[in-house]
Amino acid sequence: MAQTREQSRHTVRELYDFIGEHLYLNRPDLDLGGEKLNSTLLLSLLTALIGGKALIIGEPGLGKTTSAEYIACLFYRIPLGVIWGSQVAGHPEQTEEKIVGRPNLGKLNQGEEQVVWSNFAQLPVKIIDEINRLPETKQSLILDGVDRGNWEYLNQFLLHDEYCLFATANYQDPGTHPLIPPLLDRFDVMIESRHPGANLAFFIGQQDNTDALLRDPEQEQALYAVLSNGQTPANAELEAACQRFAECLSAQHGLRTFDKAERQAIRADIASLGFSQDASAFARTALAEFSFCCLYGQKRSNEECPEGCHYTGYLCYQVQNCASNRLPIALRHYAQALVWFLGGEQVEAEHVRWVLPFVLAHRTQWRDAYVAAREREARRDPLPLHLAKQATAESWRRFAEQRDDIMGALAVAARILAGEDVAPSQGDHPIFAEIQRDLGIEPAW
Amino acid sequence: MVNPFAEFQTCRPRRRALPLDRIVAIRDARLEQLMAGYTAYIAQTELDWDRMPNRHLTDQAYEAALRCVTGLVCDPDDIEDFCFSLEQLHTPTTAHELPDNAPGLWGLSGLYLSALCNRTKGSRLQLRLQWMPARLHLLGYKLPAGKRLSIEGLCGDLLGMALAGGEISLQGSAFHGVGYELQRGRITISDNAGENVGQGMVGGEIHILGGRIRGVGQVCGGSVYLGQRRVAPAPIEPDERHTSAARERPPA
Repeated sequence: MAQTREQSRHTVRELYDFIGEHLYLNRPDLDLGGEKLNSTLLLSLLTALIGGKALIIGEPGLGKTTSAEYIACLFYRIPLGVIWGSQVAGHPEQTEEKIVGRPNLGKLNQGEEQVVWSNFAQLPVKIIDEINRLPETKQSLILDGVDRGNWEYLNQFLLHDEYCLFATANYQDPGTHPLIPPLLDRFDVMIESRHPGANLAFFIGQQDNTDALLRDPEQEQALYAVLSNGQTPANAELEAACQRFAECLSAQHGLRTFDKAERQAIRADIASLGFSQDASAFARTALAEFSFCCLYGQKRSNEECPEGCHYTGYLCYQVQNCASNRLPIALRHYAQALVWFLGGEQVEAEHVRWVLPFVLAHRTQWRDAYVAAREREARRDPLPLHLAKQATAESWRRFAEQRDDIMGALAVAARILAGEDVAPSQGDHPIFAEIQRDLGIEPAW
Repeated sequence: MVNPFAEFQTCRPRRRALPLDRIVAIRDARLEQLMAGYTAYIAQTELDWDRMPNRHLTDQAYEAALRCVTGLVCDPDDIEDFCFSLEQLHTPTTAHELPDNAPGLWGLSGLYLSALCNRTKGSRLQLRLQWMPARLHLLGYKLPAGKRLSIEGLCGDLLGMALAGGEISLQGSAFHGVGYELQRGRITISDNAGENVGQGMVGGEIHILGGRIRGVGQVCGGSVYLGQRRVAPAPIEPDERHTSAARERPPA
């Protein structure tokens, strides 16, 4: 039976609490309007909720993979053992055949091409463990799969109507490779799984194996049987297997989980949440700072701002690359999901502000001077996230100072494009120049 | 073409009034009034500098200044701002035509500032005159008790004339007639002073902390110091004191 929005939200909250209290113990590190939440758990949960892509970074052994596994297990009703068996581990010898699929050799001997899809490719939720142990060439191999969730092998396609990806990455060590910018850009958010603190860590050390809570060997065998033929499993068959595991979860832990239809209904509900004018204006203001260049038209990663630019005080001077169009998409999805989770009716500027650092952190390449100036600052976040949070705070401050002017300029622009004869608003922030460009009246430089 | 601003068509943002804007507007309005008063004052008042120092003439001009500032609301910050406006009003170009050739004008300016300082409610006043195109005369005229006037820059003649209990502290030098007919109060000058220092003063103290007084006037009361040394009234020399004591000693 379909749940109402409030019931669904309640169920999601219960899942958050269950994971936070039994499986992934950590401190809250986000204060969202008075509500204290853990960013790794929250954003991973939102990723599962909307079918997003999250990159989880952190030191080895601090719960990057396990947090993703628990969330994947509970949100997609897949036993933990199957999640483990369908993960892709990043290493230099990884091949497309191990990641995506391989030819069915029996059929091939009979002259027939048929692909045996990997468990990783077949499941709607995917986990790539230690993705930065894949060399750059192998990273390019999975770009399209990571982006759209569509997998291709031997001219055959595996298309999903539901797709969610978690990837984990350790910090740089001798066995890792830098993640290429196109791959990084395909992730919606980046989060760090942190050390829970000495006391919680000790408590975790005292606990029995918590994985057993989400294990059910019988159900795992049943699901493996569905996946084992290597062909795209019929939705009904997969759903039925998942449903049986969901019943076990309900019986053992009293947990309610969502079936595919309910997940899709929630996604539609989340997508229906609108942005307030404030939220829209702030998002535009921030985007302008990450894409605008007065001299060269836009930011380009192979061009650097000259000294003495008029916009030196804005973030456009501090970043090297241009914000991709995936950034506002991720920003919208996660801001909507956050509002849904918090019980709001529409996305406000505050929600955009909370989400923005997590969608910016992995995408933004900063000038060396900016990094050097900030890397020694006291902080609780890894440097990319710290820089993104500082940048968001700067942009937020400017928006707060110029809010009425920016809103006025956007309103005037709307009237001009609607045919009214009014003078466009002037201002110093890059958003004003961007508006003028959209109106075709950019002043010559 | 897509209208990317369509969602803002209904937006009617109100202009936010910043507290700073309000403060600046108030200050601007006050400054405008001070300037209007000053312009009217120098237009309708004359000060014949050739007949200075003259207490009667100065009093007349000062009374006129008081009439012009009556009803004006200003605080010490406004008076400080007024000095900057005065700089701009008498631009260096104009000042070349007028400079010390028009001492009457600068005397009136000083009297107007004195009237403002004496009338305002604030007790601590600051005038920054470093960039003034010419030296202002008659600053601190009749400064009453309880007020402390700090001046930075060069002052013209008759600084602290007829001082009435106030305290003037000058970071810089002053020209002639410092403390002319000083009644009560204290004048401290960090650098040098010109001629006739303390002429006709009947009380109070004048301290010149720099190296030089060009000339001390006829001091009727009070004291003039150059650094730590009192220069007026002239200190009694030790020998003279001894002789004087012997003279006064009754015969055995």
